[in-house]
Amino acid sequence: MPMTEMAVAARAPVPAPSSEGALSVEVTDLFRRFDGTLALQGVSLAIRDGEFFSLLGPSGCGKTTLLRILAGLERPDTGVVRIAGRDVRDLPAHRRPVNTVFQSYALFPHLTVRHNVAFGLRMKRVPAAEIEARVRRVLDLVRIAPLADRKPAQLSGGQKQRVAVARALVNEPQVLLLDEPLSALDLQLRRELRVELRTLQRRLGITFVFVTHDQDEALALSDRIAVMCAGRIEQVATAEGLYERPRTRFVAEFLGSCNLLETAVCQPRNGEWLVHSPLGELRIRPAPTAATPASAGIALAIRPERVRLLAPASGDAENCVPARVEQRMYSGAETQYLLRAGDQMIKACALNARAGDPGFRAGQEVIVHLPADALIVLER
Amino acid sequence: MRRGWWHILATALYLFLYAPMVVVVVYSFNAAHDGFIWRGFSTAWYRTLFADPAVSLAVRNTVALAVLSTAVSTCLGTMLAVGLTRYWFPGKRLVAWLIYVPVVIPDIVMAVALFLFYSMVSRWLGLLRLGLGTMTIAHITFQIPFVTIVVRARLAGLDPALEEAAHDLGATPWQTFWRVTFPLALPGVLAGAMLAVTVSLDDFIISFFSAGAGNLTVPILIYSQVKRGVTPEINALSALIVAASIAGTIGVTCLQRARRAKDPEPQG
Amino acid sequence: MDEGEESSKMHGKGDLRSEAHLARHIRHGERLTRADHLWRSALLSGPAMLWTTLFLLVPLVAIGVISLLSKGIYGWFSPPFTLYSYLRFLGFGLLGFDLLYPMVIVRSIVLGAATTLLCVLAAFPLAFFISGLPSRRKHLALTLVVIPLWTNMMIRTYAWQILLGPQSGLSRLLVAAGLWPAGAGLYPSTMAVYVGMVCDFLPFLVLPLYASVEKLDWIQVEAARDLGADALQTFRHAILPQVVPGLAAGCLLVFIPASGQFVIPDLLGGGKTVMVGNLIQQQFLQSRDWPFGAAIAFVAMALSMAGIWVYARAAGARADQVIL
Repeated sequence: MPMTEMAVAARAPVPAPSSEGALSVEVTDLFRRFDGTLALQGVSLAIRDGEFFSLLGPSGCGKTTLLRILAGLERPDTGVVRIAGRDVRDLPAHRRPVNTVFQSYALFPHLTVRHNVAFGLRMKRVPAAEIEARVRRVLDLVRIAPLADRKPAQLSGGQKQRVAVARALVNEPQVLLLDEPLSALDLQLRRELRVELRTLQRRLGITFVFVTHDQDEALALSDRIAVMCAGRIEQVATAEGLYERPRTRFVAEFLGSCNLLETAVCQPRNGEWLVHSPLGELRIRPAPTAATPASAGIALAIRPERVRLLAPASGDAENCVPARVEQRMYSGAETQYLLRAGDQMIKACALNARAGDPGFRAGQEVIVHLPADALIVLER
Repeated sequence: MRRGWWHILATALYLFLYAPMVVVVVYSFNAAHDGFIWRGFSTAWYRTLFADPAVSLAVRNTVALAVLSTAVSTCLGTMLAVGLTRYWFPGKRLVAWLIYVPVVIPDIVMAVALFLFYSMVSRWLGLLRLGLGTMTIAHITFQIPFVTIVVRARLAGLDPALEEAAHDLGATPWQTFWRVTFPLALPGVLAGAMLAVTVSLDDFIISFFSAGAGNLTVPILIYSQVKRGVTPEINALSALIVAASIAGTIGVTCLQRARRAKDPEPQG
Repeated sequence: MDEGEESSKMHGKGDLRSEAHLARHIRHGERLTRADHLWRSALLSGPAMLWTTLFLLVPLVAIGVISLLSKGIYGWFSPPFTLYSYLRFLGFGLLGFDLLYPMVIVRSIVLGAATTLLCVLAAFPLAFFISGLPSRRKHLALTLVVIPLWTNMMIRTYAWQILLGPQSGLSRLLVAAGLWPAGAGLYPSTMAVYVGMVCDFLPFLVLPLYASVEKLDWIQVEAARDLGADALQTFRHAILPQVVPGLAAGCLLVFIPASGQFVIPDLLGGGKTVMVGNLIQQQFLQSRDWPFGAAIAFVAMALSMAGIWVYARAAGARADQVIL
């Protein structure tokens, strides 16, 4: 990307990417084995141009391996990687149009901030005057210009992180890869820098691929998120999509809190499903679009905040189960309940919207209502 | 109370370590000829020392030997360290282990092994007659492992992400080495060179066996003098060496402190 | 042992040793084949390995071979092959069994072991003292331990001749107190030898031991105290196990060279005691019995290599970091 374009991009906010945008990164059927364990088993992804894309998963799920493959620091055993439409199989890292913000930042301790940032441009033998100008601009962009002549050891964690971002961005990569860039910072700073990263990405319109194990981070930042587990992609969706419509047990439990119900039999019936769960018969409406469930049984999920608690006298409505409050935990904005209905434990959560609302006491008998549209059918 | 005893014990041990050095310095100013009884202050021995051609020859030989052998062994040892940490070859583990052999075998074994080797080569091939050259070869041989071990430890302690970052920023492997790896390994290389100088200056037995006739170094000179009976000149020479050691240590420490003040190392 | 591989494991790059992994392995973003690795190793490691092979391994093998030959005229060697030198060293000489040479080995090992023991006893208080200092003084205290290493061993040994000589203040004091026979002097004597040895080798034990003490987890020590251990039990169960790596490395660094040491016994012991070191030296410089000298040297080398091997086995893969 020529200099002027970047300058323009930095000034004018770029609209959020459309779903039909050109593909920035495309990986197909990646496999990677380390010492007998499969780090990646058949990963395919398409990341759109200008998208803030997160790879989310527990440690060891393969997300960092995937990122390193994109950077060219690692090679897949099989599979294709395309960056900006070009097959980069034989392109070594130093010739790829991507830059990385490392988890440890990997700032060169023997160079000042200015020289750290200028490093990439020097390697490409950009003229000195242009290096000077571009470095100054990017230092301003991430607001560390006053620190330009310090050594990395004299910087705080947050400042190091900004230098690492500046050092990558100054090269105007087509894709910026971020490997848990916030994990070494304390909570307060993490929240601040999260907002800044998002703003920066919007302003520059560069595709960000962001690796994290922190679901809050991923949900807050990303246009789309790929949840990974054991070398596989579980689901790719927007934050809302993942939370509201998790497709697998892993996604449902990894993101937020969740009640899982193992159900035995399930019958589709005019626009709804009727399932036999440990809580008795439950109706799911509208009927899920997924294929007709196997008779072996399916799993249902429901978020605690979608579970409604009613007074015992409320009568016998649809999807209502009698239960007993086992525990009540007041936590300011909301109150969490742990309920027992037969052998099944249910987590529920009620917003404390009105002052003085006593809610339910421990030991109290209540009716648990699981709304038909709040039940999610999981595929695995 | 307990700490007090600890301090006294430690002080006594320091005194024990330094007693010989103090004695040497004090006696170097002793006017006495037989060296053991104090007969008044004199700087006469320093004057004889500077006038003695054998001493100046020994000092020159020792310094030349240390400088030349350290230069060669630092290069070879550093290259070996880089090779061992970066690239694979069959038998690498064995080599990594064999490095310790010259460090730990008794000096006398290495000394006679080299002596035999030199004798055979010079008898059968007419090469490597004993002299400064063979001494230099011997010194390089036992210095290499010290350099390699120190540099390798430094390289192994570097964050591998640094080289990856350089590469990610567009540096070719060659650029990565010279712009990132080498500057970061440099303190290790310097430390290795320091160690090499130290072992070279301290060696007696190996030099003794590979020196041949008439090629004096300071340790050989001292040994022969001490064996023959003490000359107070040796006190003066030793005192100068003690002074040089202390000055050298202080110099190195100051240099490190200046470096650190200018260029603080990252923590962790 | 092998940092390159370890660091790649940290990144999950896997083991370099198998060919499949080699082909995929990326170093600085290059894909290196097995041939690339060999080629670069040859360029980088080659010179030093060649040098060391030529000037260390070949000579060591040579003394092994020569030790099996017979004594030649004027200090050379000649066929036939024989085990005579080794038998002689073990005491089975021409004149029947003689304990002279076996005693030399025993004496050298005793010298090494006793020196090591004395150094350990002195190194513990020193290492704990230094580690207890505030960090600014710590550096100074450590430097003070290192400085004597820079002064030639010969000088220090010679200084002890003065310090322990018959006319020295110390000797006269002891004689006056009736603790030492009049006119004898503290040097030459066995005690003088050990004084010189400990003074020379103490820093080699203090440095690695200090490195271990510095890493000591004091919570374990407090836990031991809390559980009612007395000072000795605390040391035995909470401190000693933690400092074993440094202690072992230090002992190795002292024991092997101390066993081979002969200059100090020579200068401070009055030149009467024969050690393995000067026995070897004699064979080359005076007796001119090269095969015999080579045999003794070979035995000494084998013993020290065995020592390292045992140590490396015990210390496991971390031997690298501990030894220096």
